[in-house]
Amino acid sequence: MTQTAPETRTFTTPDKDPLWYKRAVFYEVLVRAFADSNGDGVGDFRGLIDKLDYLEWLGVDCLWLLPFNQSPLRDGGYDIADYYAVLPEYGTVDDVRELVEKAHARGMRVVMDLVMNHTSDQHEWFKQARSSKDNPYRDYYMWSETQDKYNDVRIIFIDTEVSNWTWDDAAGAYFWHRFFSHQPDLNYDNPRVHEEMLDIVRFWLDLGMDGFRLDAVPYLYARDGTNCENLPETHAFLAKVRRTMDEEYGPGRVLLSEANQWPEDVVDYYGTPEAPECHMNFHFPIMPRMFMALRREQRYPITEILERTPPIPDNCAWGIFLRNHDELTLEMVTDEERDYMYQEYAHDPRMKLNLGIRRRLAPLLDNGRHKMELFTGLLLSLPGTPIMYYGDEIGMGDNIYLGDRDGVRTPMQWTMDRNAGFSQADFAQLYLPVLMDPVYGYQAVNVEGQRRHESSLLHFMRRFITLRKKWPVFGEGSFEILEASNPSVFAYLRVLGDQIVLCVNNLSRFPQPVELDMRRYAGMTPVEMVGKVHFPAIGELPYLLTMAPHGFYWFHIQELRT
Amino acid sequence: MTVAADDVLARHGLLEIGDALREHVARQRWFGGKERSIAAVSIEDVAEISAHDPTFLFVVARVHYEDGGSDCYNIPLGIRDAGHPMAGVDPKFLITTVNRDGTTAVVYDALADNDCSLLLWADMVGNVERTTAQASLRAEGTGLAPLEGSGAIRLFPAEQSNTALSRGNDEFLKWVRHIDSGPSIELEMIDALRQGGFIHMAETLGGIDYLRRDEPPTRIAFLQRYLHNASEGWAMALTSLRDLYTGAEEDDGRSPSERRAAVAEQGPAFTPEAARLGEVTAEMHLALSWPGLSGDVAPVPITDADLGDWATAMTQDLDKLLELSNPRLEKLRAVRGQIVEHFDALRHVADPGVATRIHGDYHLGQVLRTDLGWIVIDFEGEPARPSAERRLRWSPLRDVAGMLRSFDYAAAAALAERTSPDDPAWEELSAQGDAWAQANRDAFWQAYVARIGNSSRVLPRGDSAMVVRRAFEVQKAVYEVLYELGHRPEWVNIPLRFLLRLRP
Repeated sequence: MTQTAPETRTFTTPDKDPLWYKRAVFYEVLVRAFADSNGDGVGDFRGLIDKLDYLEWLGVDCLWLLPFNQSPLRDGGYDIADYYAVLPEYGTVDDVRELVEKAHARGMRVVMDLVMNHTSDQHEWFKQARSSKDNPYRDYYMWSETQDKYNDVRIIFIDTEVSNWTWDDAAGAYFWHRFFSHQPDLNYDNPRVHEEMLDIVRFWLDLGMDGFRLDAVPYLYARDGTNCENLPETHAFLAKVRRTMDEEYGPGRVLLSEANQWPEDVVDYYGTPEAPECHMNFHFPIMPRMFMALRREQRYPITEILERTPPIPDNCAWGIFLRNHDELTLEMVTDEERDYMYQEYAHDPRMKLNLGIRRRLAPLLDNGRHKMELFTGLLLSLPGTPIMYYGDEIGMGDNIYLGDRDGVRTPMQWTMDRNAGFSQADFAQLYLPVLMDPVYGYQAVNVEGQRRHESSLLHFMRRFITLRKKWPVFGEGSFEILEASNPSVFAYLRVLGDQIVLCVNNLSRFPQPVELDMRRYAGMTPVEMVGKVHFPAIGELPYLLTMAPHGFYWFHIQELRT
Repeated sequence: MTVAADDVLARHGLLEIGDALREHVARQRWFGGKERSIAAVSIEDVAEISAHDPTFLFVVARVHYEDGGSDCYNIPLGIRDAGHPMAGVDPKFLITTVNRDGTTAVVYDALADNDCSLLLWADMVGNVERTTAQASLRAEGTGLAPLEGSGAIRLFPAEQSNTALSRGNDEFLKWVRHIDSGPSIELEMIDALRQGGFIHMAETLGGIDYLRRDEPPTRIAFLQRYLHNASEGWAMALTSLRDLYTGAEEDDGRSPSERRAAVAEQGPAFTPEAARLGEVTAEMHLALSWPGLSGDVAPVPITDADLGDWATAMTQDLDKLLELSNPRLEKLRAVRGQIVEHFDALRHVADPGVATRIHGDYHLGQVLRTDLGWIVIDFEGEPARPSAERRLRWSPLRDVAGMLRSFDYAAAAALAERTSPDDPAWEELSAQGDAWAQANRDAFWQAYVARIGNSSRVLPRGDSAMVVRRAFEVQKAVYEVLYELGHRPEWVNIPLRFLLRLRP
């Protein structure tokens, strides 16, 4: 076998705060798109290392690295050919180690994408496996003489795949794949696959990684007569990964799972007290519903889904995001939710336009500054750990003409210089063209320009990220939707001990009044949290606030001594 | 009035309270006899729930009118010495001051006093029965929060035909003001709806019944699960309309198709909500037409005679309206024939479905949007109508007509917020509002019909459903003209606009 775990040395995380992920702000970064240090037109780890100062300044606590392992890149790197190697254009394993060390030195953490369900068909295991029926790697994958197995299983990539089985001439058999036909699923009934995957986990944890974002976790096992999703065996394996991490590395490392399902089903991926699984799960449905609430100018699309979100263990957190590298998705949620969303969107050409293609936050919000601020305010104050997508902090746009994946993966816009300061390469050599349109192009939207201006979106982001981090209540506090007399206003309380925070959001494009029942805090004073402005004290009458269009307030409810 | 009652009243210095109550009642939003002149108010029944600090009396007052009629009202009284903070009660709750054992005391509506309200809750938590001078009270409650640590009881400021209180985040109390004879309509309705499997209403947690000899139990307090995070349908509709009108003002004139497109492509569209509301309404009517219901709530087939009676009554109401000498009715007189055609069409409906108990006062203010979807409230019918009339059975399409008319009213109300008929933009904006109302009426109706499905037990078959719906819509609009002329003349154009545009 050519691939074995290289020698590594253990590395300690910056501190031993086991619940750091509940209070952290995550930042999703694509190495390819962030900064190019060697002028080859492709971003790399050394470039990213150079930008750590910026990320620290912004207030990011944890980087989530999209896949960077060796890969033929037929699925954005989610088709891994060598888990122990780094894509050469990104750099080396040593570069990754240096990134992690330098991030830790700044008090930042790093988690990486880990694809457990399948490999690339270019992975050495698969090459071996297909070579003969007797090869020791044969059982790393799932083979069949016929396609008549697991017939109840849906095809996820319905546009490109006709079956979950694909014939392989070399192997003389069909192999099983839930995603593309160049991504054979690993066979988790084989204990050696467990060991291989745990070794991969150990390798990267030894290098210093603080955890993993686990891609496509519901599909690890297949069983006839089921839909082969969320099977008990899959949960058992995730619990095994968690146990290995906890026992060998102690607390403080994090597993963030991608189970694109309804919240009441996703909670299973937190596991049980006896057999915990993931520390974090993405909350998928809340994101499209935030856009819906803004469009409808009423809170119900959000409050409905929060009402349906079950409680989770204290040491767990939802991962919430406004945008990521995927589309504003309606896929992979329940039929009921899809029906709801289609009913809402069906007669709405503007919203239909945005379905199924990938857009960034700013274009989805018509580049409305107040809307972007409102959404950021929601992201940072709703229950859950906020995960930002690179470039959204400066309001970057997208290029829908680049097609499906690439439209939201254009180079980070650093300056108004050549190639947006991303790369010294010739323009034509860039992996994707930088944005150049007059509204979102790098000459108008870039980090350097926004850092100079206190009133820029970037400074707004930094200000609110800093504020959130000062107040553990946002990460750990309870959450209660407050009775608001006006359907366009979404108000809630976050409470952690004496940190009582009131968040009020106006989803309407018009100024709105709202009356809140705050009598339980009668005699106390709402103090606006940015400017420390003292508002009138709360009395027995409904508390009246007037909200600017798309405005939002955060108040600390305080007992003031006079 | 019995000796026992007099004793209680005398003890608290209330023997002469009639005149003060008379003035108090006349000022109340919940008093339904405003158009009649009051001759006197007497105390019909009383029970002392708490003797002192606070003094809390359950009181039924009878309002005698000059015309010889009378009504009973449920006015619990609180009494405190003048030095007590409650002496500074909001003047709208203050009734009078009396001399009690040589000290001055204030008498007020007890629902304004947290301590009195807590005593009401104590009765429900403890399932207490009490004797009054003339009858008895029976309180009941299941699964209520303990009294210990009860926070403040909240008295809702919006005064309606009833008074609303809540405790904590879970319990909502509707205090019924008018004590009618006959069965409690809302209780009958809630019961029938529950039997029929309707789930889009607040869960019942308990209540207080007033038990008189010779009368069925009357529920004077409904305790329900509090609907958290709820908004009135009316407020939701206005949110949508404000956006639409603002857009229309920024445009220079739109064609009819552009107006329809503006509604269809609107961000704060109400149509998906209207569709879901249509479904919930259908479920309410499926429940009320459940064949298992019996007695006064049983669904009954609509006969040809019913249809004829309805058409005749509708025509008579129209003619009564047209007899008024108001100049604003001129145009309406000109189209009388066309209007009557809609009523007469009822006479030819072959298979009209069933008559059921209906909501009876169904409009956007009677539905609340919650995190669990639409919830229907207030099943007592139109409070201004006599009890016997509210208990009649009708085609459920009468409710549908009420809601459809409400869309017109919402469009008009949101328009009146921003402009007036002398504004040159008025016509343009009205047309935009009409397009909104039409789209929402259609969305509501289509979802309603689809949810009712093929169940012939509810709706008239085929096109007949539209004939019946239309007759009730026209009837409702005729009633609205009469009502607005008497109460809000500036609103009369809303129903007039609908009636004058009717097509045969």
